[in-house]
Amino acid sequence: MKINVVLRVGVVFFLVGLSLGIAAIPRSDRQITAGMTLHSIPPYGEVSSSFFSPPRDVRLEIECSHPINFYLFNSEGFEAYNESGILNPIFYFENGSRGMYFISLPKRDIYYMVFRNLLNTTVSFNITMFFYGFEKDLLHMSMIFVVSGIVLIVLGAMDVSRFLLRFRKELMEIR
Amino acid sequence: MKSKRNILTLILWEFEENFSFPVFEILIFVAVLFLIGFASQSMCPYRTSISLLDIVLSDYLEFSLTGCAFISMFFTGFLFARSIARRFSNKEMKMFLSYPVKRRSLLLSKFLVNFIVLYLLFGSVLVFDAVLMGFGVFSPLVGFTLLSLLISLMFLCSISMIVALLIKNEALSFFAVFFLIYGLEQYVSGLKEPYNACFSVSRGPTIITAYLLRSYYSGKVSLFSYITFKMFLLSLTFQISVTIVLMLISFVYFVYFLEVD
Repeated sequence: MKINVVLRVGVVFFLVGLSLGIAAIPRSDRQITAGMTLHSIPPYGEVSSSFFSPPRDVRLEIECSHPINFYLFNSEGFEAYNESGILNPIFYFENGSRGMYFISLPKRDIYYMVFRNLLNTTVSFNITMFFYGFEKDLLHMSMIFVVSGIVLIVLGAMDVSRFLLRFRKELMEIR
Repeated sequence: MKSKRNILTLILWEFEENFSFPVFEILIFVAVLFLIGFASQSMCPYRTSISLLDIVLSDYLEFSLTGCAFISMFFTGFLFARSIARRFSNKEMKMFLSYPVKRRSLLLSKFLVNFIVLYLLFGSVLVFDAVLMGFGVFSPLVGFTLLSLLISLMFLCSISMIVALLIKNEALSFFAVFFLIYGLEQYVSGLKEPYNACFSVSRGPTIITAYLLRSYYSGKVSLFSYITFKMFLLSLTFQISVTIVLMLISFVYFVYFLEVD
């Protein structure tokens, strides 16, 4: 079957978008649990840990022996914190010892967790992260491909080049 | 110069014919859907522990590269059956050979088109998958994966090409490739270690990539410790030598012995 190039590129874009959108469903079905158990923070000290994650929803469960400050940074926020001590976390709690929190990670990035001990005693903690939901960037990418695919298909179906040629001819005739 | 132009014209013609609408589009759809949808979702924890890096790398090789080898078996079988066997059954090959075209250029153009399109398709999907897992486009994982994909695709394409040349029937050729490779996998799995892994179509590329990755990380990646240099060499030599032998047989058969009635 012979069809014009614009239409064909449009179909390719549309199908890539569609397949990415469908692929996001089995990916969202896989829920990941990650955790750190029985870690300890020295008196007035800090412990940090990092993980890479797609933009999914996270359920964070923390249990500590004493109250601590907890900060979750994205890579830019952590860099700023490391260089100049600016606190700009995407999530935090202060003076808490246990809890369950629901966070929506904004982008595919390396995230840093910082645990700060406020007391003159060693604090032990357990943390469990449960990742669930769609990878939002995959869905956005899928939408972009589908929409641009549809636009190209419509343009291809209208046969823009032939239309422009005719328009040019008419313009020449008028002149 | 003229022969180069001839091959280029043949390649373009072959591309238009073999990847006519909607074949190319369906291939892209299936490749993206299966390789991204059912890929591993381990996350690259660089700057954290090496044991986690181990898990992520092995997950990528286990899911993405092995999955890719499995799907590419269908794709190569289908494309070469369409590109070569169908041309015999609908007498197009006879017409083609009556033109002043060198037989070797004709077969080379068919091989190159199918191989290049498949390599670009699977290569880009595998790179995208690695990026989704947090690896860079220029990371060693991507480089070694693309290298082993190149070798394994050459291997599969050479098998598909000779089967299509010998059978000369589109449907039969496709199923023959499938059953031949499936049968080989079954036979190889019964061999003693390490030959069962090294001669396997699906595990061979994993062994090559895993060994190269371990060498790159100079022993920091421990999960692939069972892969020895002997296994790496066996996998590599097996795939490359089978490819060369099958290609030679295909070209000699097509150029000197094949009679199209």
